[in-house]
Amino acid sequence: MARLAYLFDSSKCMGCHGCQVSCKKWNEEKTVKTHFAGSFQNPPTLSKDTRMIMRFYENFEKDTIPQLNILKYQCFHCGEPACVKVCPSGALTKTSTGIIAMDQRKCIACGYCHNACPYNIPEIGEHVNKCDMCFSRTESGNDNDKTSTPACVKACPAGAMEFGDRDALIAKANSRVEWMKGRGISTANVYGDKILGGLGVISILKAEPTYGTSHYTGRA
Amino acid sequence: MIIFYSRYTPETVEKVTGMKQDVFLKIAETYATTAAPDKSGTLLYAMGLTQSTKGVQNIRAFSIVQLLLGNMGLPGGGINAMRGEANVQGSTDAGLLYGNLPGYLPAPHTKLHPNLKTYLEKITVINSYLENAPKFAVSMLKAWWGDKAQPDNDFCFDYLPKHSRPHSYMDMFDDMYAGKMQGLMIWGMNPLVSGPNYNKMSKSFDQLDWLLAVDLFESETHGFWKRPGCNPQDVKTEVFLLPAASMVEKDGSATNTSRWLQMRYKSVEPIGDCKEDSVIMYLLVDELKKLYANDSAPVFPDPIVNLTWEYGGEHHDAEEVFKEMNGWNVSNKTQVSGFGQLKDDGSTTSGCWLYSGMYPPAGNLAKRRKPDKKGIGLNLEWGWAWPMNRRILYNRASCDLDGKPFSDKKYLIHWDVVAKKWVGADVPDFIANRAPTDPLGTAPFIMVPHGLGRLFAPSGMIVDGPLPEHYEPMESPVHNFMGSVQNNPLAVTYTTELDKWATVGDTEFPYIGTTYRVAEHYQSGNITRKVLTTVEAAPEAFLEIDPELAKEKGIKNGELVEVSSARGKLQVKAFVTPRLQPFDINGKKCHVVGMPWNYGFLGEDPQGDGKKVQIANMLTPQAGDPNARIPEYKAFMVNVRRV
Repeated sequence: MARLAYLFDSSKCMGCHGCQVSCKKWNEEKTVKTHFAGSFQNPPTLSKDTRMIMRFYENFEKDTIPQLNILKYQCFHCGEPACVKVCPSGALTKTSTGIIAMDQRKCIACGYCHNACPYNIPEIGEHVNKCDMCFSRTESGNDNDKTSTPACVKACPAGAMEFGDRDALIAKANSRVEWMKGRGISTANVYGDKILGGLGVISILKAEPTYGTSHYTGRA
Repeated sequence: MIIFYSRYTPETVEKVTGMKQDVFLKIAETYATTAAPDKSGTLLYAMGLTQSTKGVQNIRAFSIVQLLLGNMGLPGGGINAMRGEANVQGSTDAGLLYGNLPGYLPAPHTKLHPNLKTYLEKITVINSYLENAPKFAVSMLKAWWGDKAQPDNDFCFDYLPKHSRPHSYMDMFDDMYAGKMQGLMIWGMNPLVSGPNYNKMSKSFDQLDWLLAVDLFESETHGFWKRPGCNPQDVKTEVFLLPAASMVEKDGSATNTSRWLQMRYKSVEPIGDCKEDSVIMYLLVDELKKLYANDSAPVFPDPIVNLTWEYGGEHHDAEEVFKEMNGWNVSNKTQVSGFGQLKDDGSTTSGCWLYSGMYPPAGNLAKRRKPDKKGIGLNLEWGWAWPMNRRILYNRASCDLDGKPFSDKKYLIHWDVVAKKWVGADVPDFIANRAPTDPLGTAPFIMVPHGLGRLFAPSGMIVDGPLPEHYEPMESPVHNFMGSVQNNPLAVTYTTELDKWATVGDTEFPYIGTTYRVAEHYQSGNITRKVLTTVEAAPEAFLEIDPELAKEKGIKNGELVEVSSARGKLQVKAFVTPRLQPFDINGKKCHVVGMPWNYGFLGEDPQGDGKKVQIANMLTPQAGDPNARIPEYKAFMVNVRRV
C-alpha cells in the first residue's frame, strides 16, 4: 500500500490550537493544568497526556515585518523508525501504510523508544503515548465525511493541514515552496521528505530548520 | 473634497500614524490598481476600525475610497464587515439595536414621530426605493397586532415604545449606575467582561433590584456579586439564571455578512431543564399576557394583551417565525412572494420587510443547499440572500452608463435592449425595467436619494461631519497634528466620578493600550473558559509588551506586571514579544501594549476562582462614536510596572 503522510504548511497556520484541542478530544486524553509563561505554546511540552503540540517561534529583525513561525510537533512517523527497532515488547509497529502504530496494552513502559527517537517524542506514563495518525480513523473512517483523516487535519480551519498519499503531498509541498520562493520567501523549504527514511509528516517551513534553535520562545 | 484632503499627504500620514511613507505609498499604489475595469478590491474591517470615537467616519473613509475606485457593486468589491459572531448580521436585520425596528426602519422617537402619519412621512425617502417604506412599516404593525391593527387606530402605532434619548449599551449602563433602572434582562451576553470601564460596570449591577439572565453557564455578569472585592451581603440584587439551549440544541437561522440566510438545525435535544431562547421568550410573553389579562387595574396592557403570539405553542417550529417575518396576505393568509407585494393599507403583513421573499408560497428558501461552481459561483440556490436573493448589492454599478458590463470576467447583470429589462447571472439590484436612458437609469444606489454614491454625506445622515477628518482618540499621547480640535467634538462621554481620563501626553499614563482577542476563546469566554481543552491551550490573560519597553522597565517575559489606566488597574503576566514594536508619532516614540479581553474571574481557567480580575476592560473608557455609540476599546492610555 502507498505510504500515508501529513502535510503541514506553516505559512498557512494561524496558531489557533484547534488541532491540539481536537487531538485531545478524539484520543480522550486528559488536559494538563497550564499557565501563561511567556508563549502561546501551551501545553508547553509533549507529555504522557499530550501527544501533539504546536510550537511557536517568534522573531523580528529591524526593517522587516515580525515573524511568528509555528511547527506541528508530534511523532514524525519516520521511514526508518528507531523506536520500533528498540521496542522489546512489540507495542510499536510500522504498518504497511507507514504509520508508526502503538498497542498500549503490550507496552511495558521501558522508555527505550523515547531515548532512541531522534526527537525524543514518545512519552511514557503507564504506557507509551504518541501520535498514531489517528489509527482508528485512518483505518476505518469514511472518506466522504473526512472521518478517515486524523482529527487534527479535519479540525484545521486555515487549510494548513492535509492528509493522504505521501508522494502526492511531497509534490504538492515542493510546488508550494516554489511558489513561496517566487513571492520572496527565499528560505522556504520542505522538511521531512528525505531524512530518517523520509518522515510521515511533511512540513512546509518558511525558514531553515535550524531557525527554531535560535528563535524558540516556548519552553523545552 | 480635493482641497479638504490635500492636507493629507504621505508625510502627514507618517506623522499622524507612524506608518513609514514608503510603506503607505506601496499600499496606496497597489490598492489603486483595483480601479481597472476588470479588477476589483474589497476592504475588510472588524473592530479595529469601528471601536473608536470616530468609528463611523472611519467606515465613511472606506466608502469614499471604494466609490472613487469604482469598487462597488462588483464581485470581490465592496466593504465587508468581519463579524465576531455567526449571526451579528441577522440580529441587526431583526432590529436588535435600540434605534431600529426590524429591517432598519427607525425606532419611533417621542418628538420626531408623535403619530403614524408623521412617522411614515419621516421614513419615506423620496427618489429612492424607500418611497415604499410606509408599506413596510404598516405591514410590520399588522404582523405584530393582527386584527387589532386598523387604519382608524394608526395600526397600533401607539403601542410601539418611543425613545427620547439614546438607549445604547453604554447609555443603559450609565442609567443603571445612576440607579435609574430597576431590572435588567440579559440574553447570552456577558457585559461585565465585554463592556468598557469594569469598575463602573460592576457597580452598575449593584444598583439593580433584579437581574434575569438566560445563558449556558453562570458568567461574570450574573455572578457579579462574586467578584473580587465585593461582599455578597451588601448586594441587594436578586439574580435569576435561566438555563438556555446551546446553538446545536435549537433550530433557527444565521445570516452571514454577505446577507445570506441559512437555516441550521437542532442536532441534539437540550439537556436537563435547558430551553431554546425562543421557547423561553414564548413562555415569558405568554405569562405576561395572562398577568395583564387578569390584572384588575393594568397600566397600558394593550400592546402585550393584543400581541399576535400564535406560533404553535411552547414547542413551536422556527418555521412559523420565518413565515411571519416574510409576511402574508391578510385576506387568505397566503405567503407574499416578496416585499414588492407589501401594501400600506393593512392588507398585508411582514414582520421584517428585508426578509420578505425568503418564505414565499414555494417554501423556506433559506433551506436550499444547491452548490454552484460555475462562473464566479454566485450560488443563487444556496440559502437565500436579502434583498430578494440579490448576491451582490448595487450590481447596477458593475455596468457602464449604457448598461454593459465593465468586464466579462466579472459579469453580473446587463440591460437587455430587446427585452427592455435588466437580466443576468445575479438578480438585478435595480428597478427591473428602468432603462439606462430613463430618469435615474444610471443611478445604481437605489436605497439613497437620487441613487448616487455619497462622497459627501448630507446633513442628518450622520451626526458628525460630511467628510471624514482625523481626530485623536479620547486619550492620546499626542496633540492632534491635523488641527486644533483634539477629539471628535461629538464623541459620547459620561460624567460620573468613575469616568476618569488621562490628559494629552499624560506622564502618569505614557503608553498606548489596546484590547483584542485570542483565537482560542469565544467572545467573553463564558463558553470556552468552561471547556478544559481550550483553557489548557490559552489558560490566562497576558499583556503584550515590546522588547524595548520591557528592557527599559526591567520586565521579563512571563513575569507578573501591573497595568493601570485612569480608571483601574490589574495584575497580569507580561508577554514580551517582538510582534509589537515602538513607532514614532510626529517625532515622539510611542509604545503600545495590548491585552486580550476574553478573560474574567469565573471559569475553569487558573484565574477562575473569583479571586482575581483578568478583565482587560478594567482599563478601557466609556467613550464612543456619536452615531453608532460603539465604545472606544481600541485606544487608551496606560502605565505598566513590575510587581
